[in-house]
Amino acid sequence: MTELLFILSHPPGASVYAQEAFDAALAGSAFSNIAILFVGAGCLQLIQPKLAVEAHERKDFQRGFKALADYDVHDVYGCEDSFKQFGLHNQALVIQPTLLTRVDISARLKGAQRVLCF
Amino acid sequence: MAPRDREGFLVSPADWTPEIAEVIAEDLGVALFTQHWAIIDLLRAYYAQYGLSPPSRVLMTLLKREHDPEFSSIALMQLFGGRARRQLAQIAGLPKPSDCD
Amino acid sequence: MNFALNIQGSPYTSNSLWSALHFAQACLNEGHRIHRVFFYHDAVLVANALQAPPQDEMNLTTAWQTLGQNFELDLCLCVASCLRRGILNDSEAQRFEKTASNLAPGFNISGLGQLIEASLVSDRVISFGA
Repeated sequence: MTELLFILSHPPGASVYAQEAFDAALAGSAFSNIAILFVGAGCLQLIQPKLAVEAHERKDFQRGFKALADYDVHDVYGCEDSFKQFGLHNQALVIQPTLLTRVDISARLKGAQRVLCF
Repeated sequence: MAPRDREGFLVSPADWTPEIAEVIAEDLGVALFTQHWAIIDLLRAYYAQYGLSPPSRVLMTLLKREHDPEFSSIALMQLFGGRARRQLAQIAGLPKPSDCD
Repeated sequence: MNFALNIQGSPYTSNSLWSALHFAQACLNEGHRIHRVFFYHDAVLVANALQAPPQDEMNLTTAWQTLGQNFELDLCLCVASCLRRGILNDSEAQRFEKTASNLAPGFNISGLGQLIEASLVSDRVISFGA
């Protein structure tokens, strides 16, 4: 049973919002059973950054996605439509989320006790 | 000696060296032996790989998995003092946490 | 019903704090409760005591302080968001060796755990995005 569903919709490079949203999800994992759903431009966070990020210039926070299991976060989802829209199916991804159709997403939203949007 | 702030954190974590870790540990009243170093190295490697400074419960998961299956939070406190995670992070040269844990 | 608010947008740049304020007022007027108002991302800037918006525009800081006082709301800011953006109370200013603090009265700085706790104990979380 998902207690908290975190919906992440910000692209990674345009602002700090994606990075801070990930921090919020990690904080949530300390208190309850959480799930993460990447939607829209938020799915772009999953693309493996191609350029080496200079230390301190911009934090490559996405590598933290690979540590989610250590934080007991096992339910990581992506919106299938968004994946199609952004052509992510053949991209190298940091982690592979479970893809959900719109119907699946709707069911997840209904099944979660609380939904937090970022 | 690399500059440190009033709480004893390195002003620039990039300055970290094992020698500096010894100095920080000494200030905290912690003497570093083999087991301490194994844990410091583990934490630094984790930070380098994932960019995350793991909270206590995640740290315990890691230590049980990669250091000693019998490891406990009591053991961590015995090694690094009452505020073990914070002191460990400080000695290991991880970024100063925004919270006060 | 008991609500938790998760506010994210920058004051004056975004409508997030304005929309949330009106939502909160409407909730409270209807007899609902607000367990906590959590300010995240750029929304923490509303607690900057140094803001001086034009006098013929709404002052969001004052408006939130007044609502907070009238209904004894917990107006809670994320410490990490605050530190990135330079919103400091006296103790954080000391911790980070800064020469001044600027947290407006009526707001308090705490951690993300407060958002999570509020989410779990309330009936609904309403997010006002950036």
